[in-house]
Amino acid sequence: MKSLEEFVALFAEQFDDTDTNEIKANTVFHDIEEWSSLVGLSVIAMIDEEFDVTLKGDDIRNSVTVEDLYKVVASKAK
Amino acid sequence: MIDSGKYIFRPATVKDIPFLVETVIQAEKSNTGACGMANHFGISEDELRGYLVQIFEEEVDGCELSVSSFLVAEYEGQVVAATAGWLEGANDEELPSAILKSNLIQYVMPREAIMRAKDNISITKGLSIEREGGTYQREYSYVIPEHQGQMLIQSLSEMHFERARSYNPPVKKVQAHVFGENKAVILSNKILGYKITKKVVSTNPKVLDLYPSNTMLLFEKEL
Repeated sequence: MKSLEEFVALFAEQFDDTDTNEIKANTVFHDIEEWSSLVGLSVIAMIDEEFDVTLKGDDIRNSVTVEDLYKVVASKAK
Repeated sequence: MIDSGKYIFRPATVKDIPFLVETVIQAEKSNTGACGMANHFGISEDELRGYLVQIFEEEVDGCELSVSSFLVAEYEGQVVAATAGWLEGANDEELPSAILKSNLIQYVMPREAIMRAKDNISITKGLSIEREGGTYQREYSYVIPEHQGQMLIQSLSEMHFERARSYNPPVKKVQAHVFGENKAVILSNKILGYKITKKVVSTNPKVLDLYPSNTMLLFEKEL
């Protein structure tokens, strides 16, 4: 399982126009201006590929910060 | 800030018809300015809205213009997302959904619009992919801008899959037709486990005057 720092970096890579340095573990990702369905889908695809974890819609919806999402991924990782 | 705990997911009712009409219009546009259905019949979006209300009010089950096909997401009493799905051919007379849809359209739309659509058939036939009887069909998704990014269509899709599995016998396959330019839906379908099994491309240049794309993809998912 990758570290939280690695997860944050991979998460930030899904954004095209947002400064990756702005995205931290405690970032409320739904508030990022560029956040959209397409970015959300890219995040789900990245997690599937990098962590072999399939997230559901409510996993994204119920997570507030990037770290919250990491914890969901960690709890589902094999 | 949106409170994710406030979403309610449920089947649509006739009270949701205005939102279902908006869903059809926005999905027909596929994030472009071209409303395929309005263009196909040579009518304005507003005219199409009126006809779609009448069609939904007929409450015919078993196609993409059936209230009973839709699942919706509600937030604080307002419907904010919807998407359709139905078991193909599962009606009293086992009619294909294309026939049901065609009957509904011919019942409410004026003759001139039907004639214009017939004139356009030669342009649009290259994009046609037949729906397979006994499969669960997915169509038309829309989320209002304020609630995009909440993965509502993902959750509604998961509900549709559960609905498909609940039939007796359970449905084994889901199909979805998607215009080739619709990146968000294509990515969403791949994440949901669909595979592209067919691609048709219309070589008629006039097709882009009517539809958002000259390419139609068939996605299939085994349940």
